[in-house]
Amino acid sequence: MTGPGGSGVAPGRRLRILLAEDNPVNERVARTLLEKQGHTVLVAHNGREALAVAEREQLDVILMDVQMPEMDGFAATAAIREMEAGTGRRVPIVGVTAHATPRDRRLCLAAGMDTYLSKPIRPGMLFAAIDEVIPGRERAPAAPPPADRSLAAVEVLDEAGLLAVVSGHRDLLRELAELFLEDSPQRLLEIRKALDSGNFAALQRAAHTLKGSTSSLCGKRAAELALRLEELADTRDLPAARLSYSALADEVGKLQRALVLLAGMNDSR
Amino acid sequence: MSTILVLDDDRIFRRLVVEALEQRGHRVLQAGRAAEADLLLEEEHADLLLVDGLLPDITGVQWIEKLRERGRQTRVLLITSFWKSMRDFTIAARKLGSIEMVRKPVEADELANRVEAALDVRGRSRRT
Repeated sequence: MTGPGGSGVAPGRRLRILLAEDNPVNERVARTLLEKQGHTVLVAHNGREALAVAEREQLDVILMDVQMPEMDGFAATAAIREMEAGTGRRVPIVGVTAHATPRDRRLCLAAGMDTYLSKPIRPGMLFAAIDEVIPGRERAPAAPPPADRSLAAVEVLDEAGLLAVVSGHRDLLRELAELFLEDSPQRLLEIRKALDSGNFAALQRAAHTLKGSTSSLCGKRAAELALRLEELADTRDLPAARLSYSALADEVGKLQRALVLLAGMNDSR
Repeated sequence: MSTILVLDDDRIFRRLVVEALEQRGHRVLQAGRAAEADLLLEEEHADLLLVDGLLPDITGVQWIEKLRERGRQTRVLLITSFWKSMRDFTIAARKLGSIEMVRKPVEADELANRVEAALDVRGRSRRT
């Protein structure tokens, strides 16, 4: 993947970034991606630390996980905005959330964040979000961040493709979305059980079914991951299958959320 | 109007097949497992079977083999996406008659075309 990296290269300067994240794995992923681009990364493990760092350091951008111990990302952002009031300073803040729901988005923006990212962090989306919030930051022509972002969204759910599948019938779309919300957790559970018991035949069948439904719904990434899992079941590669499963579970979650939004099912909730 | 049995444990795929085929005036029977399909076929006549290559209780090819052993020559469209099912299919096609393969992913409309083409073949061979 070279495209998304393009927008991460600072054409003007290297950035000083505060990464507020309590999960060591996520911290490492984000830090590695940012440092590879030549940025300096400071780390905070909760909202209180993030606030302290923001107070004493000159920062170009803050990546703020919303769920952290002691003080969460929303509260820390609100506190930073309060601290900045009247100083003319305003450090851009990118919220990082596990749930890219409309509610989370509203909370991020209401707390004073400039944009938000959903987990797991992917390079293209991370760099696009940074480009988006840093004023006057030039965009790499090869991979303009907005296109990159929408590309990422298309990988989760190809909305135009799915609307074509249902010939624009909203009722059918909703029905399919409901079926997926009901059935996909069941398939993931079967996969997990099969992984636990080393039952490759069951693993292959559940992955196969999930691949079928995700590909019918134009959930490109999920379908690819389900296919990979189906193949790994065939070659009986348990460690790789386990890794592949967690990626698949993430992607299925994203697809579920995207379907809920597309089918307008969040309105009635 | 023809009656088509779709055997696939993916309800989303079945729903799309029902939509596409009913729009063309066909009747669709649905089963999620081979055992369910067996029960349905005891009571109902189907002109064509649309069968997924990998079912919860058996492979599509194994099910068709059992069907043929019981003397049923109903035409089959086997839907496969995985290379292994394709290999199974190639072996099966030599051994079992009246079977064609459809590669997944397939659009519902295209699938409906394939179904109607297969029904046509059956209609013609019956007339001759």
